Amino acid sequence: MLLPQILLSGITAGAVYALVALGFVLIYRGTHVIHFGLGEQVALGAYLVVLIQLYLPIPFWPAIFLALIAAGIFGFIIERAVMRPIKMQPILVQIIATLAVGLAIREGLRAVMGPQAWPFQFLLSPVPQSFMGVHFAWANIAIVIAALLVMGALYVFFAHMKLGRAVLATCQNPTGASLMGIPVPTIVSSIWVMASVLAAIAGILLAPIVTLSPEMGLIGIKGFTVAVLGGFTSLPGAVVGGLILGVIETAAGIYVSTAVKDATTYLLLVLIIIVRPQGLFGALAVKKV
Amino acid sequence: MRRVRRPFLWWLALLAVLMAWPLVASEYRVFQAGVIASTAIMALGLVIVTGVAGQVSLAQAAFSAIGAYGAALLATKLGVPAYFGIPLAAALAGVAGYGLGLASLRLGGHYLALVTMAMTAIVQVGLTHWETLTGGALGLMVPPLTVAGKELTSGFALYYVVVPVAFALFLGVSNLMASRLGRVFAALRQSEVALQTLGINVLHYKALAFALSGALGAVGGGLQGLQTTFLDPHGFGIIESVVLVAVIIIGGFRSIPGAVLGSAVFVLIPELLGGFQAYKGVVWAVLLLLMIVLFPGGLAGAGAALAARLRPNAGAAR
Amino acid sequence: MNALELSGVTVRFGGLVAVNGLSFSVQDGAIHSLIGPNGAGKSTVINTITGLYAPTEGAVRVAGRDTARLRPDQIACAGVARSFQNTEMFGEMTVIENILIGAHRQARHGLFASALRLPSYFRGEAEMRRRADELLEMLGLGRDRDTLASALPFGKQRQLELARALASSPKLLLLDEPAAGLRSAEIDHLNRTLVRLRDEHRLTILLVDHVMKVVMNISDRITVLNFGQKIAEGTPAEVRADPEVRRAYLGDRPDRARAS
Repeated sequence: MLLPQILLSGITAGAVYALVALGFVLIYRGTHVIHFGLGEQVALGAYLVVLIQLYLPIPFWPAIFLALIAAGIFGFIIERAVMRPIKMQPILVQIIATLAVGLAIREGLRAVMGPQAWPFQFLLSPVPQSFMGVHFAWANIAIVIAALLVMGALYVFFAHMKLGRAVLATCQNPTGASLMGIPVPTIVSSIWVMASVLAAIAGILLAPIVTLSPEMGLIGIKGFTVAVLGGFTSLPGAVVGGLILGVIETAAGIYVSTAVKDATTYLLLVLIIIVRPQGLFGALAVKKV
Repeated sequence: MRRVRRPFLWWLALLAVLMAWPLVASEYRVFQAGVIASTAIMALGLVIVTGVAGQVSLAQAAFSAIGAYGAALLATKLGVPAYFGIPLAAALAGVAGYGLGLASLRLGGHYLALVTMAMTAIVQVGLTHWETLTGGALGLMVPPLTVAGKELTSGFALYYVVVPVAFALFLGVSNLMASRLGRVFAALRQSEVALQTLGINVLHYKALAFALSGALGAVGGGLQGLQTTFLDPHGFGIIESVVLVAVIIIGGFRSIPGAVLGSAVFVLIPELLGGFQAYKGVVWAVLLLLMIVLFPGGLAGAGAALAARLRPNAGAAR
Repeated sequence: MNALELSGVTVRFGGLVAVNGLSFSVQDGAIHSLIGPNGAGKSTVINTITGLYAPTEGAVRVAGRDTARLRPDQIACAGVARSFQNTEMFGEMTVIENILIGAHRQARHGLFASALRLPSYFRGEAEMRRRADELLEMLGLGRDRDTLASALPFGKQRQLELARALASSPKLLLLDEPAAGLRSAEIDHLNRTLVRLRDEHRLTILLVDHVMKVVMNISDRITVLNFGQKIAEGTPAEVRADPEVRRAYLGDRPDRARAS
């Protein structure tokens, strides 16, 4: 198959992975915990849209808006009810707590919505188009554009807005930030809210092209892999990592087999952690120490 | 020597009760008890590596898959009976565990969780896609355990296989954790630097903890395979690993009896829910969260605290 | 032979030079002190000798053996034990258990003997406990045998760390500020213990400390560091008389220097 075709498919998937990874990176930098339940929050985001439309007679777009708000509130609750009380516990306990959050979401979805797959609306037409021999669908283009818009908004937020800079300062040095008068607990909460909303956006973008079922939460592993590729602390690293994983995975699926495609992510994850735990771009981060 | 003999008598009494109980219990309860025992063996492995040694492991489902599939395939393809097949598979899982532990070099809690998680996922992908060997997503029948020409298939018969094995393993691991090896595992969780400067090869002991947990996971998986008689790759994923971590958290994390308590809760929850079976996963997850946030000691810890409260003089007498 | 030899050791963290071209040797059976103002690089030296840091340049030799390629645990197996400036207890374990960890390598009973409680297990454990009890008595921790290490007062935690280090049967003992935070009577006890370890147990001791009452009284030799470099070396009397030492270190605390 054509290289441009692989790139296009890869970038579509990669853009969504990058969104998930950005959530991981944010929470990790802000709280030094990897949120192992974030993948489930991705699935939850998409399910929320379905749920809202089941119970409220409103169109797709307002439902998305409500779902994002609900996802943010959910992130807030996780931080306040689970993560904050165990902040001083060993890291092991915190890791298990995030796993438990994921398990609760997943099992909750399975109980309420059943184990079967739900149909999910595309943002734009999924009908295949052809341009200069490359097949594409507007739906996929919409995913890439939406992801790019979100990343752009994040960039503006961190680079130019007061709250964004406060978040970055807190991530860098919580003690210093609190001495500067930044309300660190509030910032930590808002980090969880932001990461949860990012996850929900990723879920809403992804649900039409994968199957919306409780299993969708396993997307989290792709997010981990991407975050590890990018060095786990770098926001741009997460974006580049997402694109790399998307392309490698697509290429593996096309040139080798679907079994290999499934395993690519995991093998890549193990390989990077063992060979280059600082990530592809980690060298820059190490210098600061 | 008196300090040694008394616990030994307790163990003996426990064994007597365990062996006599099925004679008065219903067939279904006996079957359940067998499932609790095989689950508890898998959990026991996690108590060692995660509870005592403090190394997060999401690989336990992969180890139990090695045990279950390994023993079943040895029986199907090579005619190896389960009483050789399960120990062989356990040895293989032990070696795999040691390797995984070595790979954990330099890795802190998070990365270790990720690597073990990836290992489980890789094993699961292998089980799903290597169809000619494993039957793929369609699953694999487990040939029954045959002893002296008789097929042991009833819950009653299997109880007398699984429970004595579990008993022996729990006794052995209790002894081990009270020995110098167990002390080093516990120290591993508290200060690796101090251990190193005392001349103890931290990596070797981490790997050893993983090897033990792997071997126990495989024995538990192999025995459970005999009980369920059917294997499906879906039963050996990351979620199942998380569920096993939950078993030890709910039971009591570092507590060896806690592995049994947690397994019992896990196996019995569906019964308590009656008509709300769909919610058993949620109940389990919420229970786990409650334990983490409110009772970090788990059931065993809560029990110990209760016992201490009932005997207010016990502490002072020491 | 020298128990310990550093030649041209430099330790750099990024752009920061913590230790700069340091050479000194510790004679077998001596108490050798390493002193210097805060930030002079003393703890870095100990961390480098024990293999927690790798020297950027130079070599460390323990009993003539280059340790460059050894892991921290291998260096410890070569006979080097240490204490930590801020103590590194196994806090959730009792005092005796801490010491038993130190004695782990001395025991021979293995995994199967322990799991099956073979006779060798009972013999091995009994021997370990007997030795641990001896050490507890020697360091005055006999009554704290079954106390949780984290529940000990700081001074006793230091004693425990010393006992634990001794349990590993070292030839060279590195002590990072063992007297910090101790009361006067405790310091006297420490001095007696260290001298006894040197004289009766033939131990070589490298001592890093601020407390002059320890350093000046019991050291056979002193090396003075400032900003990662050696500025003086000699007997306590020689070091005390050295003008550069007075300027860099003792000079700003004449009370302490005289008090010894």
